[in-house]
Amino acid sequence: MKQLICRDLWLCRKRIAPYIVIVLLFLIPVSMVILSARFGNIAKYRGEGAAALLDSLESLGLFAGILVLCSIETVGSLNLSDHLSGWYQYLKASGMKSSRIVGQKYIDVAILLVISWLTGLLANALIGLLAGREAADVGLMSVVMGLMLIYLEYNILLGFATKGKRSDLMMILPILFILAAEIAFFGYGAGHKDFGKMLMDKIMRFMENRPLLYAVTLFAVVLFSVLNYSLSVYFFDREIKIKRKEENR
Amino acid sequence: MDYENAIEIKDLTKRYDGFTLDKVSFCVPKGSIMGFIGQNGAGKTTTINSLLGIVKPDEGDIKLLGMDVKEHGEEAKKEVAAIFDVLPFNDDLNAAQIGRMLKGIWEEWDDETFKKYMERFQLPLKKKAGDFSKGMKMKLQIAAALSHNAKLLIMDEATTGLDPVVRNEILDIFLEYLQDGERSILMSSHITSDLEHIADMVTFIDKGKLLISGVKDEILENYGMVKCGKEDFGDFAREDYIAARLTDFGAQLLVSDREATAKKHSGMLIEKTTLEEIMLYYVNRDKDSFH
Repeated sequence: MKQLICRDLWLCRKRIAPYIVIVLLFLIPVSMVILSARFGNIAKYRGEGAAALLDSLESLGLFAGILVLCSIETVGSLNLSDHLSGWYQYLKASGMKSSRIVGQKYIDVAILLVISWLTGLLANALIGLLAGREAADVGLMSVVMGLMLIYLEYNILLGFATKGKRSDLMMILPILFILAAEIAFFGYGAGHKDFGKMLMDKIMRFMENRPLLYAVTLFAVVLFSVLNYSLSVYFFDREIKIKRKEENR
Repeated sequence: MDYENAIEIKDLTKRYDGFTLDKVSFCVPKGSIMGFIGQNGAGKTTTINSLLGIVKPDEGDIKLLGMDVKEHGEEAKKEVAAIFDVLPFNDDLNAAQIGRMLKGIWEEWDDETFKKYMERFQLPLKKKAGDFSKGMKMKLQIAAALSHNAKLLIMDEATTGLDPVVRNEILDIFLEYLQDGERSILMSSHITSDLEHIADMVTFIDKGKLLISGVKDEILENYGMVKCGKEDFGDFAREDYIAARLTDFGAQLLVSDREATAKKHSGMLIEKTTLEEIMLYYVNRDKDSFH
C-alpha cells in the first residue's frame, strides 16, 4: 500500500509544487511588510497605522494552508488518468479489492489535507512570531478547509462515477451552488426587503458560535467523506454501459 | 493446489447492448498455450475481462488454477499475470519506479528477476515509460508479468502493432516461460501467424459464440480447403462445408473433416489450410461473396 501511495504522490508532485511555490512567494513579501511595520519604514512613517496594518495581516498565514489544500485537485486529475490508462483494470486483475483501490485515493487526500493544515499552522505561527503577536486562531482555517475538502472529494467521486470520462461534470457543483445562492439572494431576497441583512446576521452569529461551527463542520466533513468514499466504491464496481464501437474485442 | 486445467470456463455469458457473449466454454490445460482467436468485436476482451474480474459475468463458472473465482478469486489472481495491449503504468514513471510500485502489489515480486529481464530486453531503468516505443512498453509489461512467479499469463492482444522482430522475441520468451510444464498462457490475438507458431491449443470465437476449441495441430490436420470447379461445387451438400467462396474460376470450400470429404468426394483437391483461412471463412460465411 505505501508504495502505491508514494506512486500517487510522486505523480502529483508537478502539480502540487506550484502551490508550494505560490505559498513561499506569498509569505516572503508578507513577512517583509510585517517586519517593516514593526521595525522599518512603515513603522516609522505610518505610526499607529502600522499597528492597524499588522492587524489586517495577522490572519494571512491561514491562507497558506487553504492554498495548499487546493492541490488536492491533482488527486482528482490522477484519478481520471488512472481510469483512462487502464491502471485500475490492472489493479483489479491483480486481485486487489475495490475498497482498497478506491481507499488509496482518499488516503492521498488525507495526506495532502494534513500537509496543508500543517502548512497553514506553520505559516500562521511564523507570521505571529514576526508580528510579535499571538498566532491567529486556526479554527476558521480548519472550517474553510473542511468545506473545501467536501468539494474536492466530490471531484474524486465524480471521477469514479463517470470512470474518468466526464471531467466536465466537475464544474456542475460550483455552478449549482452559485445559481442557488443567486436565486436565494436575487430571487427570494428581492421580494423580502431585509432578507440579505437577515441572512448575513444569521451567518455571522453562527460563525461566532465557534464550538457549534466547529462541530457542524467536523460532522459535515466526516459525513461527506464517508459518503463520498462509499459511493466511490459502489461506482467503481458498477459497470457502465459500453458503446458498441468502443467495446469488447 | 493440484489442477489439470489452468483455466476452466463453463457457459460464460455476458450481455451488453447489441452484443452477447453467449455460453462460452473452454479449458486451457496446465502447461499449454491457448491461442484465443477472433476478429475485432468477437468477444475476446470480454472473455478475458471476465476471467480477470474486470467485468462481472452474467452467468457461468470460471476457475483459475483450479480455484473457483467466485470463492477464491483474490487468491487465484495472486498467481495470474495480465498483459494488456497498452501499458497500464503511468507514462511519467520510469522502470525502476514501476518495479518499486509493483512490489506493493505482488507478494512474490522479485526485483532481481525484473532487473534481469530489463537487462535482457535492453530497457533502461531510469527512462520514463512514456518515452518508450510501443515494443519497449510491451517488453516492460512482460518483464513485470514474469517477475512475480505467476503460474498463468493472460494476454489481450499483446503483440498487436509490434514489428515482426519484436513479436518473435516476445514469442520466444513465452516458450521459455512454459519450459517447466507448470505454467500456462492464454493469448488472445487476431494475428493468427503468431499463434500458429506458438500455440498448442486454439479457440475461435465469433460474434460472442464459440466456434472451435481444440488442439491446434489436430484442427489444422482436420480442416482443409477444397478447390474445385463450379460444376463440382454443385455436388457438395450444404452440410459438407463450413463456407465456400465462388469466383469466376472455381470454388474454394472450407471443410472441417478432410478425410471424410476425401472419401465422399474422391478425386477432389483438398489442401491443408491455415488458422487465418479458417477464421476468414468462419467469420465471412454469411456474407454475399461467400456461400
